[in-house]
Amino acid sequence: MPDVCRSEAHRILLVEGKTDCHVVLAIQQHYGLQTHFGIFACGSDDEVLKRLNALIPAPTEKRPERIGIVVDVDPATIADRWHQITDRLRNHGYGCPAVPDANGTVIAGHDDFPAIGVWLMPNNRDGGSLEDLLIQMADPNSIDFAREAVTGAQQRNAATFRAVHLSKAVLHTFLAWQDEPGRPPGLAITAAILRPTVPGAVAFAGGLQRLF
Amino acid sequence: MLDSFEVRNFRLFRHLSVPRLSRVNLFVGRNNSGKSALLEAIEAYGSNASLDVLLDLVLVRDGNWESEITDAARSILETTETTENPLRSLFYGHHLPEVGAEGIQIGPIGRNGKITIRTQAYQIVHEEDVTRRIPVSRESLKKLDLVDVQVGIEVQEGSRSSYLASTAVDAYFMRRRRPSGPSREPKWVFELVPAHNLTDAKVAALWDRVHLTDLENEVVSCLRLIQPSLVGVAFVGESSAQRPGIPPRTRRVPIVRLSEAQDRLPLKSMGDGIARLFQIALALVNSRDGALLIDEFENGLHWSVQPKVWDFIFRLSQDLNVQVFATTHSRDCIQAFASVWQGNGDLATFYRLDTDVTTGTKAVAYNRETLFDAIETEVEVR
Repeated sequence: MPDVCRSEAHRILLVEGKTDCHVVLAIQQHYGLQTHFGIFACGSDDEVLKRLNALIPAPTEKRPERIGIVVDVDPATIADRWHQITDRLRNHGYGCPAVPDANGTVIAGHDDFPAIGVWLMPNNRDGGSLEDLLIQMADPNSIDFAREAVTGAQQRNAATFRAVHLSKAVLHTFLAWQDEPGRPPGLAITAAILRPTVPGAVAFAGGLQRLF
Repeated sequence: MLDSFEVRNFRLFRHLSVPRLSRVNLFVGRNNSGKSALLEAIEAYGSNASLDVLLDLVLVRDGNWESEITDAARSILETTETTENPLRSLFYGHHLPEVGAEGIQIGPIGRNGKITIRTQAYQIVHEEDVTRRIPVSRESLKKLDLVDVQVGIEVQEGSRSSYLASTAVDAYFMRRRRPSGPSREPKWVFELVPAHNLTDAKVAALWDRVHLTDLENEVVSCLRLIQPSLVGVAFVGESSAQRPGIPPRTRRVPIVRLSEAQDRLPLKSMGDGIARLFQIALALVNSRDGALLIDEFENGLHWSVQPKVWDFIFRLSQDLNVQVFATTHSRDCIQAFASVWQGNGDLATFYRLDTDVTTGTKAVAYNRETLFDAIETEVEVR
């Protein structure tokens, strides 16, 4: 069976890892966007940018007609992340806005080059990651309790995670005590433990819809 | 050195623009994408549109260009006389342009330095012993007595133009009946290593030009990239088998000696790789202050040796002020090129030639970072 996270579709969304891929698959399914685009999990944020850079000028039959990328702002700042991406796009002759669009940036294709969409997790404005979007999708009371539990674990020196992964620790603590415990985020969306109808997720789905 | 290159109405190029060129330039693309035709255009430009070079492009490399013509063009060719002007196949669409129409244009991007090859009407004026050709415009053609008018092919650069050949004769007559008047000097020296390798005679001639010079040492050291124990190279005569009534022909072939053996061996017996490398190295050292053109770089060269060969080319092309234009279809060749480019900043460019509906062919540029990214993420570049 073909790997759903290594699609070679002509409308392609590049994401960092498998988790990102499965989260997008679940959102794609919820909003009926399954046939609109394929997903390719590149392995890391750096690999997403490299693959984007390589796909733009690829030979016609291998070149996507639309490319979206989803990358975390973390560990960079929003401004640095935006420059990192737009520097590459400008090298290929794209005109890029000075700041990302809050609803997801769509940059028109030129000559034979594809249209490009960029979504900076969580919301194109703040620092953070995919997990910050997923946290918004959880029940607020439960997620607040999970946050307290994680802080408590840190205070008792029972936690070893790096500061940059705080949101990830909170999310997975929350997921740990849902039914059934410890579902990966993509499956948690499908099981309605994480709700794809919160404003942040609606905005993300809207961004995908506009691009594809 | 060419810092950019533009071609109009040449072979399969309606218009091809290569916006930036550097010391070492590699072009990839599918079959029929125009890689060889681009080298031909550079050759035509470097020779300053020499009649000999243009005829060689058509006559010697029939095999090459035949594969690049379209079905439509082929049907035109099949219905025309074989004695029809051979230079027509250099023009886009395989026919000579009408008088006054845009012809072949080749040269750097921008107004200066371009060469135009096109048809021109001439009024023939006989003055005592001298016959002069006076160019006439398309408009004034109607007013003239056509008996005194001939159409020819002319080469123009800036305000200077010169008669190249008649449109009415075949290659045999073209070669014999040179145009009178000052001949145009080539823009630079250049050597071509074709996909199918050079003739023995050409290889021997290139060797003679560097034998016993420091450049010979460069050639030998290049061969040591493949055969480290190589002591030296010499050329010896090899007579063809004698047949009654036919004088024996002698050709000169390269032989080598390896440090571990007493015997001398024909270079060619050591494999395609070393023979190819010998030609590339010889052509490079013979192109000082000029250009080296290599069609299908990878032919015969094992992938493991290609980075060393590129390294040799990058180094020597700077030392000898040679601009290098090479083509390839090989992923190994591209990877080898990229690995050497990594340490050589702005010294190289990389393009893929793509078919384009409006212009015939388009050159898609890859900068160093993009090429590395494509190799690393295994996204196709060819």
